[in-house]
Amino acid sequence: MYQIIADIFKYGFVIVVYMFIYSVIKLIYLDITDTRRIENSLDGAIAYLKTITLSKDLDFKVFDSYGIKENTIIGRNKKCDIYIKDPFMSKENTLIYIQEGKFYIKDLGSTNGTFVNGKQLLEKPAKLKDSDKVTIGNIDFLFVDPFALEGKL
Amino acid sequence: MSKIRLRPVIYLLLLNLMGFALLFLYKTPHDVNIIYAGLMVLTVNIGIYCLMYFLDMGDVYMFLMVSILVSIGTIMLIRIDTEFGFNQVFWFGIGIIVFLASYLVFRLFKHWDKLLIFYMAVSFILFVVTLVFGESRGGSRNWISIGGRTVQPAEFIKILYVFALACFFTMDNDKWKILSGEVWGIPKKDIAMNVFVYICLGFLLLQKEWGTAVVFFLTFYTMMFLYDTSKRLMLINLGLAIIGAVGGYFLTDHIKSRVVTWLDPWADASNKGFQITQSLFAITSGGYFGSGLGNGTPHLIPEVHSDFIFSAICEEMGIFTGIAIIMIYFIYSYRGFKIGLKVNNNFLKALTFGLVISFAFQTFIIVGGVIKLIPLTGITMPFVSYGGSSMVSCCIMTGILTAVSYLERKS
Repeated sequence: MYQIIADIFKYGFVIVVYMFIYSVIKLIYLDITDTRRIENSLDGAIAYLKTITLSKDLDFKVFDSYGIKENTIIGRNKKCDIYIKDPFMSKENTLIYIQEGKFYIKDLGSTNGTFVNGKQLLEKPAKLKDSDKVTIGNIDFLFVDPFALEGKL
Repeated sequence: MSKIRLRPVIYLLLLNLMGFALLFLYKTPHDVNIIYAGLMVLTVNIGIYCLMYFLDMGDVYMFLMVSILVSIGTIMLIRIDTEFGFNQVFWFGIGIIVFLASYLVFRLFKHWDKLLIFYMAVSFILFVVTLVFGESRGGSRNWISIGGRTVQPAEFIKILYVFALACFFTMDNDKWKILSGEVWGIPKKDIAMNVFVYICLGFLLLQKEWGTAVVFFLTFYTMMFLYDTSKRLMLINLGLAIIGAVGGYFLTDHIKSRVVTWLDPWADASNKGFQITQSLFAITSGGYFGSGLGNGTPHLIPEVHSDFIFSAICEEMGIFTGIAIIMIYFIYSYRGFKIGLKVNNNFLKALTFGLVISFAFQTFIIVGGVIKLIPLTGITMPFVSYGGSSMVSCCIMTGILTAVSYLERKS
């Protein structure tokens, strides 16, 4: 009887040990202090989304900031300009675009919506100003428009 | 604490539950103390992990590695001999207290790089004490008994030795005017360091502790390589090492028999090659998944609880678990090097590298020896082998490394 239990458990041991190693490696991978703090796409970006939510407790990789170009789609799909593996995001969640030198944000019919300063975006696009808080999925971003700052000076 | 941070803890919990429940069933008459021992190991591991996480004490991954190694080691030791296992749990408890203490002391006291004379003096005193009061065991005169328990001072000298090396490598020439300048193109301070290293090696060879001597030398040599010391000195050291190895082979019976049994253990399988052949038999009979806890025959290997615990694990838990243990050591060393690369303080950098290098070499030498990759020398497998001194000194090391990671993060 004991031998049968030991026989079954020996597979359990191997599986559990490897799952443990996998979970620790994943934690190391998610640890933002260890990797590049800023994503490459910042080159040539005209504005930024800065991540406010602490990445420490998130189940997926989040960078400190994301660059915004002329038309930037944010979503869970790998083809998006900014793609984050947040399960609360839709495949194509939000679009940020420029019209007449101003930034606009538009929700692309996502399930959990897009919020600007706590207000949910409806079908109409909204203007995006410097230091607006944008919430997509689980994550809060701060919108930074460096040229707006220069204009004030 | 989010779900993802708890995931390793859940696997740790599962491993301990399965292991200790199985041991409880295995040992007849059933011993409730096994369950208590398991609960203690589990509570301590999870408690310290949560404490480190919530107080933001520094790198938690190293401690996670320690906790899984200790869990597997304790399960295996209780299976081999209940008494050894309970002693190991006791030593792990002491080790955790020492871990927290060394973490706090290292974090609060700031002048570690100014104590070179102290490190050297204490190392020498410990060496002399071992020589005078030492007891022989298994051919090495490296034990002293304090109040009924035996201690292996070399394990603690290793830490002091790395501290001294770190001091030498990051020595400030303004403060040590005597040691500035060069002789034959070699900086005087490097010569002083070599003298210190060779005195330590001499003491170790007097105690016939070849394994630890190899760890000391390799740590020193790798550190020289990292710090780009003069090439001439490195070549001289290499020459001395070769002379030492060849001379040791021809002059002492001890090394010669180790090398001969390494080259062909089957020639004298019933006598000199007995240990290594039994170890190889054990590893082979386990196969990929092992024979199951309690179904194997690890008792056949001499010294299975200390040097050969890796073979016992491979036999009963499978070569897959063996590989997993090596991976765990890899991750531990990786985290250590990562801390060393990031920290700004030169002394702390050298110290971190030294500690991790000595840890990695120690693991490599014992695992390599057990699987007949290199000649066998008897040293302990960190955190897994039975032994209080080894456990406590490894816990001190982990405490220091965690404190360095904390200091690095705050700076």
